[in-house]
Parts: sequence; structure tokens; C-alpha cells
Amino acid sequence: MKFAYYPGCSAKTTCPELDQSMKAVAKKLDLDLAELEVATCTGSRQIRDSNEELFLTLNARTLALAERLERDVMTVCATCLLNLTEVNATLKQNAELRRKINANLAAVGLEFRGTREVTHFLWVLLRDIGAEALAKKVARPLRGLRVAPFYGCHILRPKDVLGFDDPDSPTSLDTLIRVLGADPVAYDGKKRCCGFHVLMTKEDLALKISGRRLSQARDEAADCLVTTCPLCHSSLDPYQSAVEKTLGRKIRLPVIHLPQLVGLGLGLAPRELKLEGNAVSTAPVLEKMALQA
Amino acid sequence: MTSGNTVSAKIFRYDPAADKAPRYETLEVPLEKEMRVLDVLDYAVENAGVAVGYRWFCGVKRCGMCGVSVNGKPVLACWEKATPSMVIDPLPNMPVVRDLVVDRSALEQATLEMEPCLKRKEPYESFPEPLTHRDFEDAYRLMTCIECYVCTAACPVLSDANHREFAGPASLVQLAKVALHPKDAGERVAAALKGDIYACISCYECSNVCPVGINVLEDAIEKLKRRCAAQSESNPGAKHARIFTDLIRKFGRIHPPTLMRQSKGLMQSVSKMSMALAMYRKGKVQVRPQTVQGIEEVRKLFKAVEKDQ
Repeated sequence: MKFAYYPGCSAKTTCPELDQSMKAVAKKLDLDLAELEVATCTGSRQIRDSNEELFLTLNARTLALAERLERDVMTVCATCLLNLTEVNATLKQNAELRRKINANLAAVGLEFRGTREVTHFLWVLLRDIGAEALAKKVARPLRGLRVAPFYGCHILRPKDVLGFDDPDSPTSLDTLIRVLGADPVAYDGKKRCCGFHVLMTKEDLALKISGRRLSQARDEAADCLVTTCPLCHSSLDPYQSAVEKTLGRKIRLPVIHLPQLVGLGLGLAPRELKLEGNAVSTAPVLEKMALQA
Repeated sequence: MTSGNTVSAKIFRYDPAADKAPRYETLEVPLEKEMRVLDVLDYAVENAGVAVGYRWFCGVKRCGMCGVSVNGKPVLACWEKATPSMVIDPLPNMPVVRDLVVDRSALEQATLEMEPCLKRKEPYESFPEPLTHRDFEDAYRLMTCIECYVCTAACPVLSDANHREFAGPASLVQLAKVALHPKDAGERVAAALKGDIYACISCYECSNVCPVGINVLEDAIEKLKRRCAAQSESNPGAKHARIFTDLIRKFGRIHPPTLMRQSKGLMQSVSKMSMALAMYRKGKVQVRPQTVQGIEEVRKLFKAVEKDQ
């Protein structure tokens, strides 16, 4: 299986453990990833909130780069997934807008043709590889591990754009956790927002939102929480100490990226998955699995 | 025609004037074909002797009065299918008058303060106005809003963070409806900022619950934010969007330490030093920004876009 790999800014800056574990897991799963090294940021919410034409143009370039490779785009970031998916759909549907954006792309000798799709690593696992095939590759079932799924808004909503899972009762990440042999923790916060997109401008507000999710998962006796998006991960992991101050409560919940959890199930060593790179210590998870860091 | 199955409905009951605390009343209702939540509530009152208070008028998704929360999701009782097991609560983010009846007056006041009526640049000439469908497209999309406040009930900024400075999505839809009208000349950016539009966390919960299918975040809030970003010099949310964009122009991707320093200012960034240091030790902070390969291409694209604007 071949993909144009779009890691996103976070995997290249604040979450190197995400990029490293994704590459290690890809090898194990025979995913052939060609990294889009010249691609830009998809603009998070900020560029789309301020300059629509720039938002469309930058993402059309990334999509055109993947088209040139004749590969679909696979990302590990939910916000990038939504941005790229929406731009892809918008430009495929609207010929006039496509002409306008292609006039911009002509300045760098590229053209958006609308021949490729955008997907997320979670969807590749369940849709392209499939739960059954994946289950056969699980070398170290994560038995007894209570994992709180954290879907992230932009892999669920808006449903008519993304369409893979039901935003009201999502099951994909829960299914994956079961395939890996672990137990998914049930809590309402799994389909809710992490608050990331106001973290820089309204930190108190963001921490109240992420605090709700973390305390719920903690109350349900989760051993760790798994994210499909490095932006959620940032709110929940490096900012967890700030959340604890807001809540006046110790949380200390390890927050693990999706490829890290998959890698553990596939039998990769914690170092290969850079589990020492997460802000909240992942040692309790490894201890429960009787693994050496 | 009953199917032999039943609906188990757990209904929120509370009379603030008489009850010490809210309670739930559970009843079994025969499940009928095409049964709605509203039919379950009607059955409770008419056939089961449960005097639950709820509000409705049209019964056909027009009046926007029958909002309730079913199994944690804000919906219209008249348009939501009854399921075998339901917990029916009043809409969150507003005070309870009795049982499922809520007081929307504070939210409606927030809408009124936005002055959501057309303020023309020039006096109205005559009918028909020379407007094309295209001129009207953005505003028209929001004219289907029935003002049910179901989106505001779903907003976690209000429920989870209790951030009452935020006007909420329903009021912002009303504001956007006039702001996006081609003949409008009102002070809409000021109104949006007064309603603390940048408290919106872009979670799409509002879009997800809208009974008439408006993508509230993209078709209303985001379009208002674009105006704020272009017109507000000082608002931190607007400034943040501009700083973010400039970093992409410069490096092609985000450099979080620079973004934080420029957006929060030096003093506030210093308060994050201990976290930054902990992240640095984990290899999560690159002191110098990395520039993506082919940044010249990116800058050419910025130029091509800005040439049109």
C-alpha cells in the first residue's frame, strides 16, 4: 500500500515521537510512505479563518504534489485531515474556483486535477488493511490495558465531509483498541473537543475544556489515553501539568499517539516508538505490559 | 399501530419553585412506527398521567420551540426519532423553568444586542433590488435558521467551560445572516468581537446538531472570523491568525516557540518557561525554526494570492 505521507507541522516540531513511531509502524505494516517534505502547513484553523484563497491555494499545492506522485495523501493529524479533505472536495466540485486556484498554482508549475483522496492513518488501518488482517499482525496483545479513545473533532465532524464514523457514537478507534487486545474505556469526552484551537489565545478556556476530558478518562480508571491528532495530544499531554493546576487535581494520565499504541501491539520496542518522548511519563503503561523502557 | 416494542423514556422532572432537586421519571411507552420524541412526551401527558412540562408549537421543524436533549444530544423533539431507550433532558446552557421548559431570554438578549437587522448603506430604492443569487448566496444559506438555539445548547464553550462572555453559535448565525447580506453596512466586526467570537474552539458541535443542516461553524462563525481578522488591529484572536499566516509565509510551517512569543507577548511567554523547558528536555522544542524545502515556491504562491486581494 502506497501513500503520500503528510505528517503536519506538529509531528515535525512538538511531537517528533509521532513522526518516528508512524515511520516505524509503517515499515512493520508494509506501508510505503513517500513523505511530502516540501508541503506547507494546512493552516490549522488560523489561515482558513483569515484568508480563504490562501487556505485553498496552499492545500491545493499539497494535493497537487500528491497527484504528481500518483498517491493518495495519508496524514496523522485530524485537523490537517479535515483541511485537506475539504479543499479537495471543494475544488473537485467547483470548476470556477478550481480555475482560479490553478491560476495561482501555475506560478509554481503545478496543477490541481482532483484525482486523489485524503485519508488518515486510523482509516487506513481499518478500511485499507482491515481489522482482521491487522489482528493477525498483533504480536503482543495489549491484554488488560484500559485505553481511553480520544477521537478529536476534525476526524468526526462535519460528518457530510468526513463520513467515516458516526460523530454521535463513534466506534472506529474503539474497534482498533479491541483489535490490539486492549479494552476501550467508555466516556462521553471521547468524541468531544480538546480545546487546542484557543490554547494560544485563551489558555484558561482551553484548559477547562481539556481538563473535563482528562478528569473523565481518569475517573473511568483509564491506564492511558490515545489520540489521533497531535493537536489534541498537545492539549492533553504537555499541557497536562497546567490542566492539573486549573483542576486542582493530579491527573498523570499517559497520552499516547495512535501509531505508538499500534506499534506496541505489533511488538515494536518502546524506544522505536519514542515512548520516552511523551511529556507525561508513559512508564506506567510499559510496566503494565511488563516492558522495559 | 404498535410494533409490540416499547420505549423506555427517562424524563427529567424539576419544578424550581417546589422541588429541592431534579429527579427522573421513567415510563414505558408503546413504540409506534415513525414515532417521534414529541409523540413520547404527548403520550406521557395524555395517556400516562405524567404531567411533564415541555414546549412545542408547529410540530414540523419550523417554530424552533421544542428543543430537548436526548441521550446527551440537543435535538428538536418534533424531528427526532424515538428510540427504545431514551434519557430526555432540558437543553443545556440555559436555566430550567420547569421540567423540559427552558428560559432562553438571556440568549435571545445576546442576539438582540447584535442588532441583527439590515442596516443599509444606501436607502432602499425599489422592488426588485438588483441582486443576483450569487450576491445573496452566503446570507441566504443562513436564512433557513429557525432560531431553535439547539446549536448553542451543544456548545462546549458554554457548557464545559461556562464561558458566558461567548454569545454562542445561535446569536452568531443571526449576526452573520445580516453581515453577509450584500446591502448591509452595520458595524458587524465590533458586534462579533463583543460576542467574544474568538472563544469559539472550532469543534463543529454546533454544525453537528443543527436541525436544518446549517454548517454553523463554516457558514456563519468562520466567515465572521475572516472579517474580524481583516479588520481588527488589536483583538488577540485576529492578531494570532495574522501572526500564524506570516510564519507560514516565512518558514512554510509553524515554529511553536516563535508563534507563542509573538502571539502571547514576551511576558506571558516567560510564564510558560518551565513547561517549555520540560518539553525541550523531551526533544519537543526546536530552538531555531526549520524552513520547509522549496520555500521560494510557497512565497510565490503567497504573492499570487495577495495580488488578487
